[in-house]
Amino acid sequence: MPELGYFAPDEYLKPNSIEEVVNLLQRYGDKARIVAGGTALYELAKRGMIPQVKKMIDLEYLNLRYVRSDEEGIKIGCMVKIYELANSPILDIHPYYSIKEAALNIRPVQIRNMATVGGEICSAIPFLDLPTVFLALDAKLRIIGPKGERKIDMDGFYFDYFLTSLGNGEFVIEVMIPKLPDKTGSAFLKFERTAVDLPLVNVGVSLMNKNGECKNVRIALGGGRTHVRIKSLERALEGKRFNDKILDDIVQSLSDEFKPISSAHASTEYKLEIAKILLRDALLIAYKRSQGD
Amino acid sequence: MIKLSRKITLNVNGKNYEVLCEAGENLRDVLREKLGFLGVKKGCDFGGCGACTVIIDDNAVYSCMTWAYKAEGKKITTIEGLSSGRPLHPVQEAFIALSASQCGYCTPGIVMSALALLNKNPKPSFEEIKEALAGNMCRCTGYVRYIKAIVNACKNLKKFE
Ligand SMILES: Cc1cc2nc3c(=O)[nH]c(=O)nc-3n(C[C@H](O)[C@H](O)[C@H](O)COP(=O)(O)OP(=O)(O)OC[C@H]3O[C@@H](n4cnc5c(N)ncnc54)[C@H](O)[C@@H]3O)c2cc1C
Repeated sequence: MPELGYFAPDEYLKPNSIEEVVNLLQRYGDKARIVAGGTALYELAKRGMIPQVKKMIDLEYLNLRYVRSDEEGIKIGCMVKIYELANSPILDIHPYYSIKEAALNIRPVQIRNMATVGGEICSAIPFLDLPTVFLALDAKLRIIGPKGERKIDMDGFYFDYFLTSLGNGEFVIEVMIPKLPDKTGSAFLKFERTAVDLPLVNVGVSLMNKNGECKNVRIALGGGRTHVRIKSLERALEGKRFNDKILDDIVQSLSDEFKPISSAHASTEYKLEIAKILLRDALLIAYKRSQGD
Repeated sequence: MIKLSRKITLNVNGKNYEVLCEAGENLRDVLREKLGFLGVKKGCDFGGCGACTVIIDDNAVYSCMTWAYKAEGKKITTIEGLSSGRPLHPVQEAFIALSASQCGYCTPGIVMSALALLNKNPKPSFEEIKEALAGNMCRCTGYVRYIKAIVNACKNLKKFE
């Protein structure tokens, strides 16, 4: 981590093409920072964590503010604001409803009005809400950089707190949620101290219901060192029918797979217990939704 | 590409202001210190207390976390834009009638949040009002009177227009 110090950028740039953004990011390297909503950036600046940044690059003037649905799935531009997700009729259908659920529960409203999908993802703050919900829906990220475009699974995007797999000159332009089969249900739950606080832990799940059996199970959690998928639990549930015993087993094994970071607000152990309860509830909600309820 | 000089134009309460700004300045400081809109308060400075709330293009935002350059070309409304030279806005009237504020520091921010809500939803429910005020803290009175006052204000909105 660079030394702490005063934030004193010398230029605020408003490029209007993707190529210009890539060029600027490449030219200035660590000295450049993308501004999306600017909210997390403000905190970093205030805390003296980004003194090296000299060029602020605002993405607002590119055309990256859209929510669309096509034959591949749902596509969300990186500059979509959280309130726009919360209002999007495209996300009303069952498989994708958890995105809306997460967006509606990010408070306060001022932050929903300012923060963006790209900022939520690229902050790499491991307890933010949207990354959890996207991971649980098998999201892909479209990344543009000096060598053109690459599309990656969001699973694998995070290396550590504040650290993603974005290389020099690269940035995220879109999140893509693949088309999910009809009988898919998803759910999102989180635990926070107050309505406007950042969550301590959060859980996203999705699953398909095939004649009562669970298929394509996805379980994602936030609150550890990075957002994670818990694949061993996904496999354990694959092909199974829901009953209390299975749910208890799944939830118990979370202890071996998930280690929340302790913070001033709560210990690792406390957060883990909360995560278990959230996971159980989220699975039940997703299952119910997969039946069309 | 538009490479910005340091002079930017901000549209505040319907009027354009040219102002010299640095890249790293936030909107709140520019509004307060360079343009004299002292109704925009400085509180926590980390997005959360809501004292600095202004409306940008119909949405309530924190002006502390809004980079000044980002606000260029947008419509900014502060508490000063509500009633200068006009009768008080029904929200302000209702706050006075119910003595909703005590020290008053959070009040401009709360009025702006209420206004952003009422502009979109002139008959909000109790829950919707709570949701809209979640990002504004009051450490004197609590929120009950504010919420009641906003309910009362709804009845007089038409008259104001
Ligand atoms: C009081 C408060 C409460 C909050 N509560 C919650 C909550 O409950 N749940 C929740 O999930 N969030 C919450 N947030 C929001 C969260 O903490 C971040 O502030 C927000 O997600 C950042 O979004 P942004 O668009 O403002 O990002 P920015 O600040 O603009 O960017 C964040 C980082 O990502 C980089 N970046 C942004 N977009 C891209 C891109 N497309 N490609 C590459 N890099 C990019 C930037 O360079 C920067 O480093 C809260 C924030 C506050 C202040």
